[in-house]
Amino acid sequence: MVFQPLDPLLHAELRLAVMSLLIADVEAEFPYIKEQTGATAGNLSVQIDKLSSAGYIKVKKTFKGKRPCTICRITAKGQKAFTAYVEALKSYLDVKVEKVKS
Amino acid sequence: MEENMELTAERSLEIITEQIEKSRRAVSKDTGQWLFVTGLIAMIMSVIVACANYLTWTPLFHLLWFALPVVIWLVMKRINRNRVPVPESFVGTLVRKTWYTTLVFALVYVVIATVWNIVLQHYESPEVFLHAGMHITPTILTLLAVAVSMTGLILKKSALVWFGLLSFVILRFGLFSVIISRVLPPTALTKLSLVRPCELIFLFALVGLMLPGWMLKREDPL
Repeated sequence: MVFQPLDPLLHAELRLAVMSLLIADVEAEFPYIKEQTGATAGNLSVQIDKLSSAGYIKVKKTFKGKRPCTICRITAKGQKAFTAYVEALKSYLDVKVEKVKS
Repeated sequence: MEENMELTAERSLEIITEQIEKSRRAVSKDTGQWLFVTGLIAMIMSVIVACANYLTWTPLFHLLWFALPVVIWLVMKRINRNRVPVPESFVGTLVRKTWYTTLVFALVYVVIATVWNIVLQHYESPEVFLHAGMHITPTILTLLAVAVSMTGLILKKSALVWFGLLSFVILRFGLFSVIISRVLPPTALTKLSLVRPCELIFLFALVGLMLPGWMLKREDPL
């Protein structure tokens, strides 16, 4: 059984949580992601920057009335990476299931 | 949630499942808020319209129903002012489209039925009107009951499906009218005809909108 490599950028709790949220919700505002992941604003900003630099998400800074608003949106590259990550996860989990069965 | 490179495959899967479930619950709570507020305002409105019609002996105050969507929109805007908005999601879009479709059907039906009923009343005998007239309230409420149940199916909330079904059964039975006819004298019943659809709307708003909305609203986040 050959294990598929896990994308190191997605293999981190907070980044994976952000990507999972954005897979379910096409785009989300920063406060919503912060609320759902329970992360601190600073840590979340750093992780979002990493995902954005890799081209997995697109960050749009705009205004909502007079307040600044940061919107994150998953890109096609991000969706592809996430799908590949889930496929890789499956290969690890399949082996564990086989081991339990035997 | 901190960075952890020692993530196991199981933990990764858990995070993905948890976040997708959180997203679904956020939509669920948001829908609950809408249903609760809509139900509550519809109940208050039905009491106001019923009282105004009963006291003034005219059905004119039924026109107030047209203000219902505006009142709901204003109240929701005020409630959502300081809340973190729930983003667009596949589940959210499905729920929204279900309600938009229902409301378009309801609106088209109201317009056609109103015009048809006016024409019948002017050009046909009362007997023909009795048989050929279009019943607005039960039809609209049936559509809404179906929308409530469909929302329950999309959000995977079986209680909501049952609430939709229950509200449909209640409004089709006309149970409330039967009770009123037993309790009140015939003279009062004539006057009560001015109140007619309000009791149905009140009951539907309570069972089909407010109660399921409250149930969704109080659901614990993960």
